Amino acid sequence: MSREWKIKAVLVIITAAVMAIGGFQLYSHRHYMTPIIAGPGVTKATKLSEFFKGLKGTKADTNVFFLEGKEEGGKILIIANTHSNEPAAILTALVFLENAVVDKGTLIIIPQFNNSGGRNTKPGDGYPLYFEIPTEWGNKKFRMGNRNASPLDQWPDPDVYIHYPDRQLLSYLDVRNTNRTWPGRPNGPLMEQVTYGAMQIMRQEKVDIAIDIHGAETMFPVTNCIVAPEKAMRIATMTSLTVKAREGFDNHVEPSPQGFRGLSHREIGDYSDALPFLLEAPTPFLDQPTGPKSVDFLLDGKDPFLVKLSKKRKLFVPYDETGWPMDKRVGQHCSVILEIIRQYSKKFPNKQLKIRNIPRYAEVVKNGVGHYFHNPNETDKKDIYYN
Amino acid sequence: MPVIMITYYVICVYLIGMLVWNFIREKKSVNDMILYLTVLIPLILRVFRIK
Amino acid sequence: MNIKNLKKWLGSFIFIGGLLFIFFSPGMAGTEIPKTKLPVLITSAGQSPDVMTINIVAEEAEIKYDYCDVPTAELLGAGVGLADKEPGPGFHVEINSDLDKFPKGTPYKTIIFAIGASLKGMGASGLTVESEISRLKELIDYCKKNNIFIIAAHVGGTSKRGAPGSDNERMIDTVVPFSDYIIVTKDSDNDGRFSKIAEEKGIPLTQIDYALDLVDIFKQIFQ
Repeated sequence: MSREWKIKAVLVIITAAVMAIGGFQLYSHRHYMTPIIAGPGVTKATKLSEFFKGLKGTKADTNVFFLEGKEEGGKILIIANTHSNEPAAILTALVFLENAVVDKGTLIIIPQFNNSGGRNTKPGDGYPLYFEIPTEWGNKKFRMGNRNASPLDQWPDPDVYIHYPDRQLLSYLDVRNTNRTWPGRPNGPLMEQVTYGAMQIMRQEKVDIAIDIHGAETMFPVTNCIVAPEKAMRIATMTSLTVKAREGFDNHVEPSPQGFRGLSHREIGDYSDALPFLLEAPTPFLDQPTGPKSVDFLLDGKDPFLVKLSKKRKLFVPYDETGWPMDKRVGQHCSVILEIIRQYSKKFPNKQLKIRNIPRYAEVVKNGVGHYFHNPNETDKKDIYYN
Repeated sequence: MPVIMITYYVICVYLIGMLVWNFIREKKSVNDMILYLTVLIPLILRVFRIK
Repeated sequence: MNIKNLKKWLGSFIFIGGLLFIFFSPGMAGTEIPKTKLPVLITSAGQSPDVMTINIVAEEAEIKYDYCDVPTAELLGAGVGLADKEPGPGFHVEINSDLDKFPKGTPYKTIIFAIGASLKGMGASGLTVESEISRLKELIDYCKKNNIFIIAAHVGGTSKRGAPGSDNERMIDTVVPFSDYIIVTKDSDNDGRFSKIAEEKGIPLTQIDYALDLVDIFKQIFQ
């Protein structure tokens, strides 16, 4: 073999090795399954494809859990991981799923709404592939996903995403963003089918409250807040005022703009009878001018560059060396959801919801979110689902 | 499979052919050889539908 | 202990208890809460979304109010029902007053200004800071001439405050010194600006810990 061909052979071997090692990591991440434990309140576990058959067999299909009370009452849908790089959402959903006991009404939970996004990553930003939450029985491992669905599952992207049905022109990336594809359609791109499936749940089950859990940058004004359209404004405002007075944390209200289409807090309200609320907790990990996007940073929200920016009053939330830990974010979400339920039940006594065994803000901050997760090794196999 | 997908796969196969041909023809520049191989990666993944 | 002594003892107990309640009443500090009457119009000084908070709190306190974000003195003069003006872009009207008790045209007895400047809000209503201030001045003049009780409420906290001469501070200057009653949250008054105006002008002021405490205040004002 000539010298030229020897070089070529070595290069091919090195390229194949790099491809295999890197590819294996990404492949493992995409196919990693987190055990989800159905708690004492779960009465039915199903799939989104039950509500829209087109999703069956695709990577967009996802788990849907029903927690039905003995007494009839209001119905609430909790949607988490619409954006999988905002993982306080799935942690909050699992606190509800593993612990909630529903006495009256129905709680529906979708813990991993954009399932494809949850199996995607953002290598350009150096995202970690996994993160672990410490619990009393060891660490619980989760995939760290991305904001948008993977192009492996929905392709090709258009030059410009034309929203359905309003025909507003949005960024091409938003065609894979399940917070721009509401209310969706059965024959649209895959992510429009996902939101359509969720709209079908709301229509068929006559859902009264829809909560979409998110996280937002500290440098973005729509952070640490409840976003609500006109019809949900009263409950959102009373929730915000009550958590501030009773639990001591800020969570202001942002009106859902009428002219910005495709968002859950706008379209769910316009295309169903449900009252939508989108919850945002500050997520420093999402900010741009920060140090490395490490797992520690994701969990404790501590960053020296953000402290400097805070001193220059460039952030929209109070921020210091204590960061913005995950427990605080999950605690806020738990309390805000419980308060929305309380305010709704007060305003509509014939559609009351009674849910117990869910910790509030101070308890989650004190005990840590891992305290509320159960050990899959000590759980009956029939109660374990994989996400 | 929509027409656009078929066209895309055809383009991918064509580009793979071109890159492999250029890689084989390249005699001196190791840099260029590495570049041909790097550019090949996503195209191969797509054609073999490795997810 | 005879009955007379018992009555005396009970009387002192109730008196001391009452005093303790007034001084240590949770969440509120300041002078005695004045009373005013319905019908009431809620409006904004500066077009920030804080007026929605005031509306919702009034609803929670079961106060039947009318609302207009940008009323003129003429519209205020039209009384309950606001001359049946239709809402439109940048102009919001809600009529919730009890029309059996206060038929359309009944003059308002009270006006509540939710203070807080928002350029976005003013822009949406086609206003500038200058035109908003002149609108507010006209409204206040009308209220003074017609004995309408003016409540100035600032519940937006530090985010609705600013450097002297800033939009928020100009809204405060336009309304607060001419009001008959000031309600502020503690974080809105952490520099003592509202307390100082209240002291100088002899205006009763109530400082509340949280905007939610307004529910009780509203119930007491409109008792």
